[in-house]
Amino acid sequence: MPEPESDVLIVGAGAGGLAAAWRLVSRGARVTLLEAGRRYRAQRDYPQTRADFEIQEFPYDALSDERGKPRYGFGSAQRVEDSWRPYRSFHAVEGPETGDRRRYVGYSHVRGVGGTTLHFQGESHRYHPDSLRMASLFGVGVDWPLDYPELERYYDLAERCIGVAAPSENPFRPRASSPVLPPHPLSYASARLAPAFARAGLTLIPNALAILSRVYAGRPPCNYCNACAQGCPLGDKGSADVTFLPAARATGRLDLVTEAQALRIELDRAGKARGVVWADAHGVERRAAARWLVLAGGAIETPRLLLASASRTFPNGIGNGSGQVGGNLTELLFWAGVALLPERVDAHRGQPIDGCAWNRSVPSAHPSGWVGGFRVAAAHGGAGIRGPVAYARRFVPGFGAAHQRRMAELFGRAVSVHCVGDWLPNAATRVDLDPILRDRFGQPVARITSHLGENERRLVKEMADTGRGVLSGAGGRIVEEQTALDLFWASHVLGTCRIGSDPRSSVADPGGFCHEVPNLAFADGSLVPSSGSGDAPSLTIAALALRTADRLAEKALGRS
Amino acid sequence: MIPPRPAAPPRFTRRDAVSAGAGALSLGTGLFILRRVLLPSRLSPEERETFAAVLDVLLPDGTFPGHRATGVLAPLLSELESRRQTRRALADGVRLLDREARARGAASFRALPEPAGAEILERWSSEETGTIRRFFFQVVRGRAMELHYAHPASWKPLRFGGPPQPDGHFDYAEPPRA
Repeated sequence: MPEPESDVLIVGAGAGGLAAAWRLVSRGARVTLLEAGRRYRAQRDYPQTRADFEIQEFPYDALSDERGKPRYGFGSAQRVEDSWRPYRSFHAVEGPETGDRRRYVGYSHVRGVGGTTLHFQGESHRYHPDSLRMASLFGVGVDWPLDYPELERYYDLAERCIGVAAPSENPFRPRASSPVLPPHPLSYASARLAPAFARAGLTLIPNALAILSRVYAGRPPCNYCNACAQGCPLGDKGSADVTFLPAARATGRLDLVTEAQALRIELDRAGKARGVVWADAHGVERRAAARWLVLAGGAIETPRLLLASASRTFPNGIGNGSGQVGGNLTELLFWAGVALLPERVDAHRGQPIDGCAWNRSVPSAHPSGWVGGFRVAAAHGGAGIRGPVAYARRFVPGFGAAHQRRMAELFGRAVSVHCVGDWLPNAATRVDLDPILRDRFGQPVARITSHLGENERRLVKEMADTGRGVLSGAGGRIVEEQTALDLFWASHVLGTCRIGSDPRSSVADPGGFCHEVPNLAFADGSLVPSSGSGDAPSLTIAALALRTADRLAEKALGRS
Repeated sequence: MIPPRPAAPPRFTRRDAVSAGAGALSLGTGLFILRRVLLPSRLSPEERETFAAVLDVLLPDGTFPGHRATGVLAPLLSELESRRQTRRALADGVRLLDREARARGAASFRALPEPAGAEILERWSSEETGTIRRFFFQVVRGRAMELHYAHPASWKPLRFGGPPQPDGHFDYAEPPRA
């Protein structure tokens, strides 16, 4: 292992890794940042100016690498019970999407500089304070080892760095400070749905978005192309590569190494982290050393790296004395519906998830037997309503001249409502090492196993009934539904190295440092111990990463 | 001292026969797998015409631009033939279509009148999941629709303005233009 050239070595340049890197270099630390993926360039890589833009995706294959090697595996699939069948996923063209078991569609993520924020849809949410106290309020999950005012200070800091446009008034997400930027007005399509939301007891307001509504920090405002998931070509979406990275680089203290796949963590005789063995793009093994190590590969890769680094000192994986590494995984609990309205609204214009109703996203114990909450969003672009291909492929069945006539008649009428809710940790939903699959470097890939608990099943049904009510109430005819009841399609993965006071039930201490390895910290979704009541987690990941970075700076540099 | 016995002349035993048979079977199976699964199974010129006739049914040229206006045939065929998962389904599907057409007294699928072709495809679309007919229909319809509606020639009847960049949709909060 070479002599440390940096104070801190960070693994992963996503929402958390880049936030932590910026905070550390801003406070004087020298940081080396290893990123497994490459740097994407908007003009070269993103497809929104191409005629066939609609059949292009973000230029990263989440399932397998360029050599066809898997990026992760899946555990056993849960059986779809008969009582779930009225809620199973379908679309008008091909009918039901699944058979007798839940289907693992994929883990939606990006490896690259910016991580999954490169293709996220800009949602930038603050958790409700009660989401930090699920155990003491409702007897489920765990409480966070920090209070909300402390988290809120870091929310404020993260929002300033990113540039978040949000409503100043949201009674269901009270905030002490004003948002950095004014919200984006609702799209025509979402405004058309607002009365139906109101009839369902829901108040549709502009979403809180890391998408600029004004020029901010030298970045231009959004031009409402609705294709955030394909990568933002303007740089108005606050992905970490256009927010934290330029600011960190400006200090001259950040060394970013791309296409550097971390293979294992190395420890010294005292059990402290010395550094990381990593492979470059050609598969050549290299080593990076630092006095402090921060893992920020996300809630799937971070536990994989810890488990793959098992040694005589840590036979079950680093930091896994309590068996908690990879456990407590929470994921995206969703229901999404698409309906065709009686008239044209052209929902392919705007932003992917531009409106949100928070009325039911305050965690509570519901009389019908579920705990938590969920939000209801107008999510047209989120459902992939970008142009005619979506209609022909999913919403308008048939073929021939009659189909062409129907396409001309129905194009522009599709709208979508999404519901996203709480996922409580359970013993069966976790990440471990796949016993068979190996990546291109011969390392075991992460295996994701997902299991819906009774609470999730009840909550999804409630979300489906609510979403259906809104779409039908707007006069829509539902042509597609997708639900976590039979699909695993996770993007909001959290909790696999969660933060906590008790080492028996957590991996990281209240400061974000590993209970068992004192110079190893976490700065990604693996820290986050609860899923929030439908909140998108990127802002919370960034906020916690900034907080951990502050703690680390105090320890490493002796500055508060 | 016992003189050494002369070596027996080579005999073709039953065991040799079984071994040879097993070897031939293995070789045949291997060749069959190679031919049917691994090697590209390109359509004959006649079968390509049948495939074009399928597209004529799915995306006819008429009041609206059809697949010939958007050039779906060549890229779709190339794509389906180049993928191991789809090239068998493509070949089997086309041959099954011609067989069904012959059962109706036509020389091939492309010789059927349009309503009869549509009737066959309609039936295939509602077959049980997992059958070759359903798979062929789903793959061909799905990808043909994608290629067709990703082409600018298909957009005018829909009043779709095209790619969202570089202009964006600054009118996003207003009603759609007539």
